[in-house]
Amino acid sequence: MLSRIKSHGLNGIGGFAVQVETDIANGLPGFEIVGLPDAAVKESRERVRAAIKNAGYVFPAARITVNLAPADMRKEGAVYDLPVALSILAASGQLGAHVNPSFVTFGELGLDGGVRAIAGTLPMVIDAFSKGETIFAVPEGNAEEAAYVEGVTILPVSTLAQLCEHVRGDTEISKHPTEHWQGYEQRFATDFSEIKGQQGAKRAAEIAIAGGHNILLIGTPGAGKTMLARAIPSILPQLTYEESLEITKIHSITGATKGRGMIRERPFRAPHHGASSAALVGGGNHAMPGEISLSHYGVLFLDELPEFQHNVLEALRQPLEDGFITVSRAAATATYPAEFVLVAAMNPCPCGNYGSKIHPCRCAKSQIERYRGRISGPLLDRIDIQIEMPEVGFLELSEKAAGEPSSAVRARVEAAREAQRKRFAEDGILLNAQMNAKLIKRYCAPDAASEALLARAYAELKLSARAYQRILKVARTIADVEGAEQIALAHYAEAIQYRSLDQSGREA
Amino acid sequence: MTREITEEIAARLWLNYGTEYNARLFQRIVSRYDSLAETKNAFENGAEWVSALPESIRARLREARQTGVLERLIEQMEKKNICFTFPGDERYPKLLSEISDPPSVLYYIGKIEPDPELSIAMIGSRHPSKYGVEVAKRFGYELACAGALVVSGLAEGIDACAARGALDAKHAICPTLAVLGCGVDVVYPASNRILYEEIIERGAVVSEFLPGARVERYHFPIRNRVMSGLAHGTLVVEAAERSGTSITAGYAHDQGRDVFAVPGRIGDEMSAGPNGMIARGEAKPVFSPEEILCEFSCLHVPAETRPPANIVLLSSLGEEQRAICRLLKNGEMSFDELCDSLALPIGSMNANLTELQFSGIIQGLPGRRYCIDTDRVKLKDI
Repeated sequence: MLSRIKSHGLNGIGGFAVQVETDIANGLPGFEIVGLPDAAVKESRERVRAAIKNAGYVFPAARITVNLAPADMRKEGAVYDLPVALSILAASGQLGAHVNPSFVTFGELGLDGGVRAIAGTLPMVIDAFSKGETIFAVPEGNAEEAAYVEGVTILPVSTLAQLCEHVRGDTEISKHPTEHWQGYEQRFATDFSEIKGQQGAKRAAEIAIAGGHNILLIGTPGAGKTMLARAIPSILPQLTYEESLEITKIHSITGATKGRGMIRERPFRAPHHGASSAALVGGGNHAMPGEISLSHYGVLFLDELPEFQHNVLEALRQPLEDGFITVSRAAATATYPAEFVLVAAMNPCPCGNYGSKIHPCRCAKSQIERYRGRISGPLLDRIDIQIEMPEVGFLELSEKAAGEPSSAVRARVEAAREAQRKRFAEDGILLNAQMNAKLIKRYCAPDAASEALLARAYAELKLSARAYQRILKVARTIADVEGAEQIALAHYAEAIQYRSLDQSGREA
Repeated sequence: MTREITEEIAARLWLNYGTEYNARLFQRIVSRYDSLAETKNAFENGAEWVSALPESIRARLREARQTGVLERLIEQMEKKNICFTFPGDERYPKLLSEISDPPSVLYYIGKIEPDPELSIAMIGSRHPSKYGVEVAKRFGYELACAGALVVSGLAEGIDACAARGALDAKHAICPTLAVLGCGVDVVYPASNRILYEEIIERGAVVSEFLPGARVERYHFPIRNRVMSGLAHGTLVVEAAERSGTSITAGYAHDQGRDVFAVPGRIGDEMSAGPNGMIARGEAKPVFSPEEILCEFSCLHVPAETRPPANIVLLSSLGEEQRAICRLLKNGEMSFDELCDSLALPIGSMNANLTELQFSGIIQGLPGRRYCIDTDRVKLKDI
């Protein structure tokens, strides 16, 4: 007898439909799975055998062949345990005659017949939904994230026996209520009001987030670089449903969303500086997403930037420009989105005290140059805002009044982003940082007085053409934050202050 | 400038090759004989002092005796335009020959003024403050303008600033001399390469170390006695309490030369050196380059003066910029301090700072600090 069960497979964040076919024939008892299964899929034989038995059914003593079609796509992970078990039971006639369930299913089985949550549920549901499927039997632990997709019916499955009864028509599984997206009040570890002093840097962070500009914080140890970076998520605009869906899709692949439902906060990722380039941009046998994709629509924080390996930093250049990354490996090729705000922090010199009044710096000029040289010019050019954070003395710390709360800053950021959305309605972008040369020309053209100021900056700071364009973009964002329609001279002038590394290169 | 290699000079180069920078050993060996050629003969005949020498020096002396070694050295020197001079030679700096242990051979690139009317060695920290940088440049410049020779060590910091200041005196003929702690053909630190080239162009780099010799830590104290020895007086600009600077000042005292110091702000780490010397009576405080010139009664009217600083009337500035300038007149301030004192919106603070920077009135410093660019402008409070 033959049976067919619908399942789904993933390739990056896209997917493909999988048919689980089982044939039971007379002959020597045996159990074979074909259709490019990987080791985890092959191991499912043992889980399926035990789960069927412990769910109260009989594992047929016959020649069983399971085929995962299409046969030319590699199948990975334990997601096919549930459809395989169901398919065997259907083929052996234990679920009644002519079983042809309308749902798509996937899930991992325990030996007791229980169903475990899996990685990648949301992207599979979204992909299958786009291919016309509407009913899904998913592990209970994944039901919530899947139920956010509008128009699908989600059947949460906790045991194999439960699903079998549903198929036989004995006990229906009640569908998981559709989840509705609403703005979530978020709570953050660090609020802007907790950061004393550093008003210049806070302003720079606000501008960076408002316009989607990457930002580099330079300061002596204890200046508050890390604290500021950790407070940045609190001024990011609230997530929209679409953004949340896309973030959850990516995180779902790594299994981080098991039992957690949708991701409601913007990601804040802070990989250690020992990270490999595969960890950062993505890789591994199965071309998994890296930190840059996991920080999609959020913040990627690289502390101690010059301590990262050179090749790792260089690997960031292309995704910073494109907003996506294609990871190619022998076994798989996948494209992941990677639109994040890069927040990087570094000391001004190897000892960290360059420019400090309290602890004089002991580094030779050549050491400082070498230290800064570890960040290549092309990478630096992609960081629109570079800001030095002056050191803060202990006395000042205790005396300073609390600053503005994050909610006030976030309101301005959201207003500025709204202004950008309106401006770029027909240009296919959302943020000032994404402007190309043509758009910069259209939206950032300086008047005569500003032009003169910029010409001086260009000559005195020996700016590259790219750095010059960055100043124009940042000036546009400053005007947006200030709520100004036109970019004024003061906005350009302020933008020039955010090219710190260009400026410090000028000393005798 | 090729020099004829007489037997006597060849013997000197041989003995210098063996004893290297050990000028006293050189003197001790030579003092036994009337000429260097005789010394060499005695070595070859195995005189009794030879066995008393350390093995390493004996080995070097034997090595240098082999044909080809010195010839190669001389060939190298000609290729790199390295000249040499020695005590008794007409090109040997007169002041240097007066010290108790003058280098037995002084290698140099460029041109040496053997008997300058006034020669001042400027020494100080490798990590000066902005104040130290300004003072070193100003003293270097004005001393060179008055015709003095500025001696420095080509290190980063005060040394480099002093040399830079001296080179800025465009009309001075031989404004500066740099004494290296390595071979004269080795540029250390590499960041001073441009300065090195310019010094060769207008003055000279000198060293008692063999051409090609690498930098060693212990070279610097040995080099320092040559710096003070080349100068009538040594000027300390900024230095920490204990540093190489105090070694050089000590040499200057031993050599019977004057030591001057520019007082610093109390409390700053880099003021401890000069202020301490002044307090202990080891150095005479000086407040302007003229005081040094007066000391040696060779006050020339400077042939040129710095381009006059632009006078900026505070009233010509906008209100916010005026307020910023008023604050900065009292010394440098960080961005945060400015914000706290002025209660301006951060945006306009940034904009004003940029405009002031580009109009040349203020200057950005590391650590997001700002100060009035006193080199270029003078503020008038009208």
